[in-house]
Amino acid sequence: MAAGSLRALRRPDGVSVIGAGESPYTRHPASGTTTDGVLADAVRRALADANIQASEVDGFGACSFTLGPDHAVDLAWRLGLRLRWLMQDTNGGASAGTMLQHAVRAVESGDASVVVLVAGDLMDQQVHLKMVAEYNRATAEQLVPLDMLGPNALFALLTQRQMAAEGLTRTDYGRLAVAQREWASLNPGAVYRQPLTLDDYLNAPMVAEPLGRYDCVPPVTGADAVVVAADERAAGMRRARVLGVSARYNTDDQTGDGLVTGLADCAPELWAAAGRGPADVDVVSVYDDYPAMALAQLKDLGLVAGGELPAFVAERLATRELAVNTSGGQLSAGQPGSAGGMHGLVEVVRQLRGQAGERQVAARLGLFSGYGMVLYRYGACATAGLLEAAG
Amino acid sequence: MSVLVQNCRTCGGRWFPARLMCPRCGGADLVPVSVERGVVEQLTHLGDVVIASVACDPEPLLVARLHGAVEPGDVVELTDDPGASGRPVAFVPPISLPREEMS
Repeated sequence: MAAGSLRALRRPDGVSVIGAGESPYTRHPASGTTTDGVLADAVRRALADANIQASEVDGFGACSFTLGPDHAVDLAWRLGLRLRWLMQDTNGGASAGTMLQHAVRAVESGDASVVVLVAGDLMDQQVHLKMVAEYNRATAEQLVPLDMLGPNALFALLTQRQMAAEGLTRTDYGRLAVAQREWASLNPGAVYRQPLTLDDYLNAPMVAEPLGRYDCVPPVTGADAVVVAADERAAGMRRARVLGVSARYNTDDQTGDGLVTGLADCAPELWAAAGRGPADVDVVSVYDDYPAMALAQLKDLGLVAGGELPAFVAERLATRELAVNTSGGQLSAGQPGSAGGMHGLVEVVRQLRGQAGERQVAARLGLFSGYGMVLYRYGACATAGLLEAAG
Repeated sequence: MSVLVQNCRTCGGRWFPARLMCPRCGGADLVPVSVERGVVEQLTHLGDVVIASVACDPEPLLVARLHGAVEPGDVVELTDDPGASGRPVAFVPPISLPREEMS
């Protein structure tokens, strides 16, 4: 065995995200925009951010709803990547955690040394309608025939359950949306940056009560990517060391109320692995397809206790005392299809590497979560990761 | 009027949409069973379309389209016929079952 291979198989001391990139989000993609084009743009930006050449990449993971008929290997070929580790992920909003969990183990085991993970989609209106109509078999057979296109009604019902269980009002959800818009005003990459008032939120057209326009993520075209490598490879570089990644899939067979995500099971092992607790976190990205799900995840991760959500929203989110979804989140930055799952990770990495511009917070410990893949009544995938500033 | 859900003959679990194995006991002896009514838990409006969560006794939980005057807490008749019935109903599209289960 060559010395290089032996070295590659040595277990590294730590694995970090050493670069991140985002292909600019747009509500109305220019004619000629393609899925592989925005994915490639995000990959190039992440590699440049990490100061890594494409020739150094030997691991690649991709998630996209609109890449077909191509697969991850086709995308790798078009990017000119020669690989010894490859994965294609299908978990949408949970894809960042899914792929990062695998990538960290790949680097630790020596199966790969530099891994690029990318997620993104071309999401114009026609593509979006096709995606939500053919999301999975249960959607096509059991939901679309109800004249229900997309998950808004499902999350309206879930939000009603959360309001009853937690004593939340539309004003509480509005405060979250307004706070995220305030963060977005500091993020040149967010598609909605103009101020949003609580009155704007409350008076917006109803989509499916209690959800109004500002409760529903705006679909955008875009892509996000990160570069993962062993710490020894990144000596001297500012990086976001991965302290732990945890995932759960189909924790309740869709038989519950949907108010508890798989993160409730992820959280204890994540905190234990990292030797930290919720109070130690400086910056958080939770998957915000709807405000109710952002709150459910903050609760499941231990950042707020049950029964205390209204006070938490008023005292910690609305004031932006706790740095949650500092990019503006998907509610203001946009939901670029499956890149919605990667968006929060990219933002946490930027915060930990001191690259967040006007919205930069003092951040040593960052937490991100993903959620998604509605099977029938609510999402079934949940992933979370803890990262620490290093280097 | 009724809808078909899956009934596990091993543990009695009731499932919708159709599963390949019983999530509760792992059994594969799943047969269709008729359910005639459920309780409306929550409802919301998508324009003129009323979508509801409907709970059968004791399970499963269904996503349905309501027709007629129905409020949360009401017991509602279930149907897999999308056509108008003239009285309040909850429409639930039929599940596709493997052919051998249809006998």
